[in-house]
Amino acid sequence: MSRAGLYVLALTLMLTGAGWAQTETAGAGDTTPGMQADISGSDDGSNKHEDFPWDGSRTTPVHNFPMFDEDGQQIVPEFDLAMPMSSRNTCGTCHAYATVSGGWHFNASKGTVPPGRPGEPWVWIDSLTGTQIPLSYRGWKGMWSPKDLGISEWEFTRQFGRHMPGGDVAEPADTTSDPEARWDLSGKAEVNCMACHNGSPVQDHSEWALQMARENFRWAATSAAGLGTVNGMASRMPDSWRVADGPNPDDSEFAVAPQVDYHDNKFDAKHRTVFDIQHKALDKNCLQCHSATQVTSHRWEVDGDVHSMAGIRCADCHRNDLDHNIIRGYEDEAKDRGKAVVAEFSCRGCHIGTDKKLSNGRLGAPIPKHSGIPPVHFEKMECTVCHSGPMPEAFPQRVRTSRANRLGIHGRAKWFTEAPFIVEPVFVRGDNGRIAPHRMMWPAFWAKVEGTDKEDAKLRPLMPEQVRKAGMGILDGEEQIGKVLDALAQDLDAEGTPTLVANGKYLMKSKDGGLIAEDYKATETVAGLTWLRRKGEYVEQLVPEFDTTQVPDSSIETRILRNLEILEQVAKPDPVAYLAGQKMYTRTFEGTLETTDTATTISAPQWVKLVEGKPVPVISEQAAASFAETAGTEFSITEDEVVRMLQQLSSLEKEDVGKFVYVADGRLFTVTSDGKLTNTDHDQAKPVSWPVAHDVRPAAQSLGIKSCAECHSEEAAYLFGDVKPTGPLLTSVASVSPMYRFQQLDGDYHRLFGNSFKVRSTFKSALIIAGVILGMVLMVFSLMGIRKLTQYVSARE
Amino acid sequence: MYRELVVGPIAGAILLGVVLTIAMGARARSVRGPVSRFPFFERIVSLGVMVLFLVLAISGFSDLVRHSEHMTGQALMAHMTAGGLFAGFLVVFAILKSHACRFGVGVTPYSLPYKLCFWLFILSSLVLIVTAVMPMLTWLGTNGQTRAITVHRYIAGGTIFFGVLMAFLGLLRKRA
Repeated sequence: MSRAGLYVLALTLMLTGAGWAQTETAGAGDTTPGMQADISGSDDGSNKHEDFPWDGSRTTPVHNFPMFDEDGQQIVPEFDLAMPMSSRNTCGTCHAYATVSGGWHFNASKGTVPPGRPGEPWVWIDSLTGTQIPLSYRGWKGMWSPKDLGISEWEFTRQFGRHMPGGDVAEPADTTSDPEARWDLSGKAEVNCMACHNGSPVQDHSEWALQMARENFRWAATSAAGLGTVNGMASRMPDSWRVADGPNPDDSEFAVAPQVDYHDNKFDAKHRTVFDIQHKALDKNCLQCHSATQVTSHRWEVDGDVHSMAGIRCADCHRNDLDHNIIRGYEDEAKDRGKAVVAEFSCRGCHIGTDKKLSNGRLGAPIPKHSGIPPVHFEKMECTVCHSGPMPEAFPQRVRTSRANRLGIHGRAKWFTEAPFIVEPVFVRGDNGRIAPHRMMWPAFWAKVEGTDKEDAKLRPLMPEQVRKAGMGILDGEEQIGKVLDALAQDLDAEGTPTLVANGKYLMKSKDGGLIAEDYKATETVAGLTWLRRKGEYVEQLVPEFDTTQVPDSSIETRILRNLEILEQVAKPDPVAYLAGQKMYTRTFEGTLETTDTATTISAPQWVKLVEGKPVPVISEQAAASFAETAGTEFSITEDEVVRMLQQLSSLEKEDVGKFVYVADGRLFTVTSDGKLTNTDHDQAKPVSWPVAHDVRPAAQSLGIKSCAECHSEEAAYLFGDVKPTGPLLTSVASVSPMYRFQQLDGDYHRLFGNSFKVRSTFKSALIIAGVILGMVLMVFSLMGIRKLTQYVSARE
Repeated sequence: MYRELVVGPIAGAILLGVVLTIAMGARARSVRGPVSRFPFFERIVSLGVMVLFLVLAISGFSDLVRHSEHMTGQALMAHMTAGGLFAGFLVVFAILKSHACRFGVGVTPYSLPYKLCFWLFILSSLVLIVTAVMPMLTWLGTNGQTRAITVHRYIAGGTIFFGVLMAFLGLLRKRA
């Protein structure tokens, strides 16, 4: 039978099986009305949850039901070509998918709800180009809209799908308008209900991230829920492949078509499986995308949120109805959403209460006493200032967050990144006029200046791909070094690890393919770029030292030839040479060693390539030196690279050198016509911040519990902590700002006010004494009056 | 430096008071022999009470202009500093005037309305001091402090009324 015939037979069997199974399921005691009525997942929400209001039971029904694929067909797990589960058609059988998919987690790009208080942005990072651009579809201040930067829904999903819950841009209505997109291959990432509501211990966020990275969008939820094993990668499939084509018969190694192999033991005879559905999402699921931890902390040291420790779950406060418009819990949310009840779930709403009938908030949360704290604090500041996030220190501390730094994805590769560089807590006055602790980052990007008016100049960021292309030979030091080290590692006859010594550092390949840097410890001084082999602490040259005035012996000749042969692969199409003493050694076409005299004496042996007959280093010395300068640090780009890149960009675009700029550390860097790097202020270089709400600290650990001087003194980090910009650029230029600037406060006044606390106790004593004396005067004359009265009464007698 | 800025006015005022007391006392003795009263010193104290009272009233009600619920910033600093000095001056003022303002027919040169205003002024000022000090201590929670501040505000209105009336009656007496 032909292949096409086989597929037709398989499809017929599948449809028959599905029809049978549906009949069986419907007849097998499904008591949910409407279960049979609509499995097509239509977006109108008809005949769904809204039609069957909550009956009052506080239990969560057992979710034992069949699954349906994106075409609405019931999945037969035993079937080899079974499609992955579709939440739209599986969960959507009972719960109106259209309503759910309008929820807060899935509506960022739709603009259907007020954006509310700023939240954490998605950060487009690229270490090689020193890029970190905060993005948001919600129009929050300082964040770039992906649409404005030309980032398509496809590209956004590829970049951030690892921590997206599906839906929204990952499930676009129009899949044809973007020619670069491959939605037909990857499928859409529907709202992944299981990401939050699956209570099963096998729910695996790492698996979700892996499948999203492989562009297996339609398969990711099934694999992450542990329902089956997904093999293959849509990213490797040719553009012409479609899911209906099934496995790739031409390739079983590389371009393997994605396919799910369901775990049969999870399904009963009616192809039903039990989902461990949690009505309220478990904290562990929330934390997959909402973790944040200071870089310097150790896991065992982290206390967590006081509410969590007391047994309150995230979803106990961050509640939602079927519309999934989750309560964010900030102070003005009720006003923003026009829904008064929302106010009950803010700090104030719960701990003080909004209902006059009740003495306090939800479940009688303790009312804070706040003894001795002037009420003005509650007018000017959010509760989080004293109760949330880490205590302020002299400098805000670096923090990693799940979505920005790719936390919580575990596998062979290291997923988390140092960039973007986010710090906390920075106390910033919000748009509502109140101060709150914030996380802060400084955008870093290459940009073209639009407009000619300097005052009105707008920056249009260049996407990393464009910068990478322009930065060949400047920014790709790591790649160039890596290529040479990889090539040298092919020489199995030589012992030791190929190593480059540059800028006082050893640079070697790590196990996961990157480069690692260690301090150069050998006593021998090394100039420029030196390729070595390293065995523990012992290092040796690729070719041992020899007398260059003599003909090298056979072992030396072999080593030179072998290394020349290896380096030729890297330097293609240029030939390579070894320079030592006054000789240049090259490899002839026949593979023999040719020696020629050089005009000058080489102080240290060098491996070079011959470009138009002139010796130049095998890799760009500047690129390697710049990389070595930043290797092993949190920085990825140097000022020297910025200068060369800005010159390169303007030369490639045939524009004036001032037309291109680099933004980092809160400054805008430009190059003058004589090649000097200058920096200025710019609105679009300003830091971006968003409020911190957790971890909440108890009253006993709140800011100011020890004394007023924790905030009101010249030493108080809350007002006078130094906020130093962070970013990928290694530079001494940094505009350090005291914390009070972000609070729009007068530093001099607060120094004076802080110092007044030094005489505060004396002042209080003086007032008390004055009050006592006045009281005594009043008492004396009151007593005198009483005496007069008694005398008067006695006289009348 | 800032500490001195706060302590300075208080110390300066006390010092000035002491110097004036000694100087006036000496002057009174040299001109009129031993007397029981210090008219110039009384005038200084009365002037101090009035000026500080004016500063307190302006700074205290500046929040009405700023539409802010609570006093902050420079106004708060001015109010607190003037408040401390006012308490001190008020004690001296009360000691100097109280005996002359005792009630009784024909015992003092002051009229009954003046005396009433004086004692109500002293009483309300005492309440002002108490309601200012209480929130600074760790005895009151947020609600208690809010109530104390509310009482402070209303009583301040009363104090201004009695203070102005007392000054007015005092002026009338002088003219008469």
